[in-house]
Amino acid sequence: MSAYARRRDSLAPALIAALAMHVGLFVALTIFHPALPLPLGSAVPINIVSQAPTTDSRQAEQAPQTQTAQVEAPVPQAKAPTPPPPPPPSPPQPRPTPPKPLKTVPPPKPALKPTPTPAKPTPAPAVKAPPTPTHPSKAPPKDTFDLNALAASISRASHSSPSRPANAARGPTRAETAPVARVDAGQGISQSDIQGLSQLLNRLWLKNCDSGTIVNVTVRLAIDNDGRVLLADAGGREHAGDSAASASAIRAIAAVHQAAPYAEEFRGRTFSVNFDAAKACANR
Amino acid sequence: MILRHTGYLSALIVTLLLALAPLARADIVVNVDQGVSQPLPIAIPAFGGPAVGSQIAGVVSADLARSGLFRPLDPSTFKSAPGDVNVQPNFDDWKSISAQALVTGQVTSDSDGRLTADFRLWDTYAGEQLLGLQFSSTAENWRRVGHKIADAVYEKLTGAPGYFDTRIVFVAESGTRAHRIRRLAIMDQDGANPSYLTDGSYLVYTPRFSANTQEITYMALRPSGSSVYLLNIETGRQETVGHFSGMVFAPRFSPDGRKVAFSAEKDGNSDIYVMDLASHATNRLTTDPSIDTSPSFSPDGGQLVFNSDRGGSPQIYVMNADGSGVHRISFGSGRYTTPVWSPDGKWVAFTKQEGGFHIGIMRPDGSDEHILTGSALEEGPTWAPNSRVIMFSRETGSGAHLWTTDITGRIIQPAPYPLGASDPAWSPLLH
Repeated sequence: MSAYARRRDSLAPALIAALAMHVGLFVALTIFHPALPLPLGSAVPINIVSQAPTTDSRQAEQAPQTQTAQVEAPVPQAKAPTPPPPPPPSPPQPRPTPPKPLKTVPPPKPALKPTPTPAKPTPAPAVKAPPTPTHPSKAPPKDTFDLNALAASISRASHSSPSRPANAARGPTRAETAPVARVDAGQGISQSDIQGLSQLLNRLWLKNCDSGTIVNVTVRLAIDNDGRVLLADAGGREHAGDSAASASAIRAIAAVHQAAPYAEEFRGRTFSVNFDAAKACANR
Repeated sequence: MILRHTGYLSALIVTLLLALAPLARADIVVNVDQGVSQPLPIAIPAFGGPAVGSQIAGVVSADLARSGLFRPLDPSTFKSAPGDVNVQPNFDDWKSISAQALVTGQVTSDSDGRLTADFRLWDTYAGEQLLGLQFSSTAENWRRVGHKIADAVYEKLTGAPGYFDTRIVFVAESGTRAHRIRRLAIMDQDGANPSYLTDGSYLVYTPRFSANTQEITYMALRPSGSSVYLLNIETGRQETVGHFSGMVFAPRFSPDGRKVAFSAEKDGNSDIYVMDLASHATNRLTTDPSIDTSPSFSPDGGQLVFNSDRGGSPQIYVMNADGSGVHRISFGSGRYTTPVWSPDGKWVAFTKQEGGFHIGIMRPDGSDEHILTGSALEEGPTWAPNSRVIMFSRETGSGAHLWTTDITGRIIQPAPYPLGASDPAWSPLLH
């Protein structure tokens, strides 16, 4: 996803909210100040502003759908401009010694794990917003305005809404009703996605409790659109002179590399992984 | 008018929302707080060059495997030979066999017979070189080259200094219980190059290395009495440490190698003394009418930990190097003996007698006591120079043998010396 597209997505709720406020104010003024003389010339701009958000205010209430769209939409957009998948990151390998005598020995398939394909993070459908069946409502361009279509869409939404809450997440998992904002609100990554990745990394992380110095490491991670690790950086600790910090960072970075390819939710993203060695080594 | 104000208000709200929108995108943080305690899989293919390259790689592999913290992979699973040490390996080949690290090397022999070993340590998943060093030595020292490479790899991947380029001095035991022969012996920490330092005509006890690894102090028991000796293992020169009328035992060097602390019995009372090796001046540190023995210096030489029964049973005490400030640090049930301060100063290892003899560790203030081993009769702990591994002797039906444990008690295994042995002492890293 490009930075511009990401920014545009992040602004959409704000614009919707602003437009909704306009409508609210207009309605309030219309109801409570019916006798207010309205200049004829000002009616045109007011109508344009007031009618558009009528639809958007509805969408704002259907937050889970909107959030899902933010995740799903950018992925194909991001993939499109990269027609050929980039070559593997490993630099050119001259291999001046082509003979591979070991190849003659049938390599016994290692029973360990030939390709570290991480288990898909637990799907947790209850928390994650279901795929939106009402995508078409987002598809039409907004440069035309059709009152009939608007009315129809409102009526469809009101008809279909009773059947949806059964699957929808309730309570604090919903951004609209949670007492505090979710960490992953508006990012398209649910807590269960994060938990799934955490479990995977817990299995891959060979914690370093044997140096005599316990070092917690935070790895800043950038994942490309194919789920590969673009960047895994422990703040330079992996190259530090402090051997305990360096060893711990090396092991943490190895774990995040082994977790590739990353699940779709994490692709094209940058995030942090905290390797809490103090807790891990205390529990062993 | 109202509408105009409303317009301003709306504009203000929109502006605020636009400004705050980015802040709503909280950073994603994944917490990982369990991990696994498993040996790190590492690939160590034979080094290129003459046949000794393969042998050096074998020493590296055996050292790392014996530490319990690494799992060298079976060479038959390797998909490619690493080739030139200066060429970046094909990491996919090594990742596919789950090698998290790869050691490649190249050995060359000079015209004068010296060998040079280059090695590289690679992080296969990050796809980068972690280490690249070169060692040069005489041809007969090829095992030490392997140990030094293993030390470097160990430190880079665990963060603790290595301990493989070291030696063990111990008492080799043979004969029947009634006619026991106790000879002073020495070997590399991996059991290679064993040799006897005494001929078995007298009994030897408690050998200890000096800080420079060239000298050993030990107690010899002859029909005429006991003596503490200093033995230079390079020259074979030997001398006694003073002359005492009673028994002298449990000698141990100070960290700077200039003094020896020991216990001497006089008129039925054992006390701790320190002798300056240059002047042979002796200073008595304890005067309590009880058995004070097994002194061991702190790494800075400022304190000693020792064993005393002044409280009614053998317990562990700490005092300053001048004998002042004596205080007890062991308060658990059972009897505590043979305390040894760890080289990093963070632990004291001991033998605890409680339903058997076990090896344990505690902090120098007596806190955080752990019993590491669980056999019936274990004693005589000695620290590896990195303070992460302890060697001790374990008595079984077939006699005493040397064992090692890490300081978590997780990795306990027999030391690579198959014959009867006791009283081990680990050398500092060789120079």
